[in-house]
Amino acid sequence: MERDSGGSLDLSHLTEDEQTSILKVLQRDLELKNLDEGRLRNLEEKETDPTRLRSLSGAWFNDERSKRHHTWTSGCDLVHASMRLRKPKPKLTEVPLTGLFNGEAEETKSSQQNNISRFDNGPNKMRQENTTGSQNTLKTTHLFRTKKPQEKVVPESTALSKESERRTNGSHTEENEGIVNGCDEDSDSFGSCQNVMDPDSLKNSSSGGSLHSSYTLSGSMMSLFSSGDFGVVEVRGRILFSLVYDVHREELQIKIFSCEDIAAARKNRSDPYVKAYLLPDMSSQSKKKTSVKKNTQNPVYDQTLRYKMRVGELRSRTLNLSVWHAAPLGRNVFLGEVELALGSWDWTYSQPLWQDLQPRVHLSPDALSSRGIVVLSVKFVPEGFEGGGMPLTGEVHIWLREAQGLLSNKGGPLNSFVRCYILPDASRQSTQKTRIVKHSISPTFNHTMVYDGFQTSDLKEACAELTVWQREGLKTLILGGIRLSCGTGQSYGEQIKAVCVISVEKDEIECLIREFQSLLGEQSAHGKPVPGLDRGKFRSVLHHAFNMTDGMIMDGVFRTFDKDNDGFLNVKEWITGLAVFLRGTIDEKIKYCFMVYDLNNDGYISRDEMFHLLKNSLTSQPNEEDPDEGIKDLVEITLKKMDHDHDGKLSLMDFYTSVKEENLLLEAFGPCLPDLTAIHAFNNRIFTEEEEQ
Amino acid sequence: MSDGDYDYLIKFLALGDSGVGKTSFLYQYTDGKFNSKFITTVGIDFREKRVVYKSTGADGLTSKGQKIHMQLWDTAGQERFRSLTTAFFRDAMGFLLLFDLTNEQSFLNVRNWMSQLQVHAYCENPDIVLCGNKCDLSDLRAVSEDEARELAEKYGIPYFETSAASGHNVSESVDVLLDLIMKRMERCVDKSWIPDGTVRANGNANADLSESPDKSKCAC
Repeated sequence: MERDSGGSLDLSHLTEDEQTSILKVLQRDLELKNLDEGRLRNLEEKETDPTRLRSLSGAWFNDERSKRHHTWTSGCDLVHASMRLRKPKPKLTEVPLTGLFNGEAEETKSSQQNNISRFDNGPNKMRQENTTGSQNTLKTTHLFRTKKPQEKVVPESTALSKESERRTNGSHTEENEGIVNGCDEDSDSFGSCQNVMDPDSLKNSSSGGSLHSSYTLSGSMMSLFSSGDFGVVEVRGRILFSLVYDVHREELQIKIFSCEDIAAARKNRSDPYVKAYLLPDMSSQSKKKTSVKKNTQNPVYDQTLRYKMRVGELRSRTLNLSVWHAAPLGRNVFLGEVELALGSWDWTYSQPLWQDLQPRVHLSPDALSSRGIVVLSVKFVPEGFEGGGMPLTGEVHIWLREAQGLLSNKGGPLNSFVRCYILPDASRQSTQKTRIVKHSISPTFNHTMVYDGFQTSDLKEACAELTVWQREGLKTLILGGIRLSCGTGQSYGEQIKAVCVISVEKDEIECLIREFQSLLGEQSAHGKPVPGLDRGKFRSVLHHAFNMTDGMIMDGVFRTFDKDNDGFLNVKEWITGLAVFLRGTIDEKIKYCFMVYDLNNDGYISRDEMFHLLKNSLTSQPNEEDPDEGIKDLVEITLKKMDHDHDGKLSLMDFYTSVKEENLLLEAFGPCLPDLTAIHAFNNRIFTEEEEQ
Repeated sequence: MSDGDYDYLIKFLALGDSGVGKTSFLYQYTDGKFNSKFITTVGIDFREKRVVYKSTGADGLTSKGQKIHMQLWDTAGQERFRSLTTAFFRDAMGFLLLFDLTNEQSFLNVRNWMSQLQVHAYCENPDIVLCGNKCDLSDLRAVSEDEARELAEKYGIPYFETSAASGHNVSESVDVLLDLIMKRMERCVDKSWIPDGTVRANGNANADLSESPDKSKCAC
């Protein structure tokens, strides 16, 4: 007989408009059904012949149909139900890998975008700019995160201590959910921040569930399919809630009744609370929470969360209800969530509704501490440097290439521009601004701002501030900004990175220099001067000292070290590269890994690049018919998980956001960072000698 | 038409490849009009029509005209709507399987559509009428009448060469399908209602009550 097609269909590939049209058709069908039911009621009273009644009422058909399968719901009901609720995502830990491929592949086929990788000439041009001219010019290229200006910059540690006091009454003060990272602020922050991540855990293959895989996955890839073992629990259970819209008060009332069978966050215990957001608004105004119920996996709340909002506005929102375990020090543990697109919600349905909790696939509002990235380069041209007395005075050039992943309050594409001024400049007369780029979350400005009248000595005091603004109608709203300034300790005439502080001590630098020279010595056996470590030599270091074997990855590592792209690593590149490689903060490492994976260096990890990287880092069974197919599917799954701006490729922002949310994704495309053992061995070898002196 | 004054609610469904003319066919049937512009159906749609059905029973007597309210489901042929449209197969009593006489692939896909029906319809051998549409475009014909008839015979279903543009054979093919349904309904209703071993009182000569109903078919 036939298998029941199950509770619902996957109709998520249909557009909003399409779903609306279809719902209208279903509505008409419902009207016809009601009409027919009226007729039937009359008929049942009047018709005496039972045989005739059967044919007139259509019961003959229903009976025949139910012979095929007892519990078949009608097509209309099935489709209606499928659309009203969002497609339930499979619990990733329980689905075999091949099952995921089948389900996911069908979805992604329809959403597959242009597969051509971008070969952007931007960065290469920038590089060439950087290499022209002598060492007298000050050249830097940086990626900075913009920060929300209004947000109180509360150092994470104090927020955490306050958290433990206020946790019990579930107030709004807790800011840190998920994995805490001490160095969340500036990407190039000072000092060596303690890296919260334990490199060992990255390599652990976490609970794989029932993965019937034809592939052996590297540890980090497991995070896509399992819950990982880094403070994240396997989601289960369900939540009972109802949605009512009070037309008089223009208010959405979300009644949270209870949860059933939720996961134990730690040691068979959970103190759960429920948090709601009306996405895409992830501000504190959108966040509402229930109280915390202690020590229960079946909490009963009976609390109502209210949002004052017009129905029209509500329709464009997605309700996100998430369950969290309230833990000390704000390290709250995510226990599952449900999301409902309110646009397709049936508002006549105000009954309590059970919904299974889903694992996190959505961008966590608390993990997002930045509103985007600004990509720029800074150049200083000293007085008379260009020859012929030009320029008359020193000039600072700031080339603003683009911003990436700008996040406004409402989310989605926006109109933006960037303002720049040089501080100290109380009068703001030095303001320059770019044109407005419309309707984009990653606008390209390609705007150079030139400030003259600089003495080289001024550079020490001066500071440039760039602010990113959003233009909405007549309103101009600030999204965030960055400040560029020189640290101390620079000296004129030397190539210096303006704002790049590395976590290596002065003494350690000498050790590294010594190592560098000894490697150079090995490289040039004939006494010929060499401009630096070449690729081959560097690769052998990676291989012998850090057990790296993947050529593509090693080339990527070389590429990230070789900042001036001349094919050689000079001593500065060696030191700064190793600083990140061995001791980078999480932010530095994210950038680093991204650059390793961005094979063609165009600022994006494309599908092709993912394919090549994954193909290398996965091993397939010998009897696998078409391993490429499986890898392509894996690429699509990865893209779906990590491509937050949905442009078919991973920008640094996409990658950054994904890794911040799920640390195990850092080396998703292949191991490119050394493990603890190798780091210790390296440290012992290189730095111990210093201590003995 | 918005009153409940009819005797039977009959549901049909039109299926076939994208572009064969399902929407036009149904529009021609219900409204007598033809629009040559191609607007692809979004997922699913339906039209309604009231007709009067007069059957000729086995006893030779024509029965009184029955008022039929027809709900004619129109499905999208596009692949991306496939999961949606197949969900509606189970609700239809009869099917109009269309292909385009000027498009050989649409004819070749008839086989696939037939197997889809066998899986998703309310029973394994539902009533189907095969229609080779666009017969007015004789210059562009790519499928011969013979091969189409041969296929229809293989499946044991009626075949019509139709044209939504001119209206040729449109109402005829739907009438045949309606007739098939009504006859099947009579058989189903009569047979399954009466417990085994009892002789029916209205004297219909075709009854054979001793055979046990075959569960995999409509037990008629």
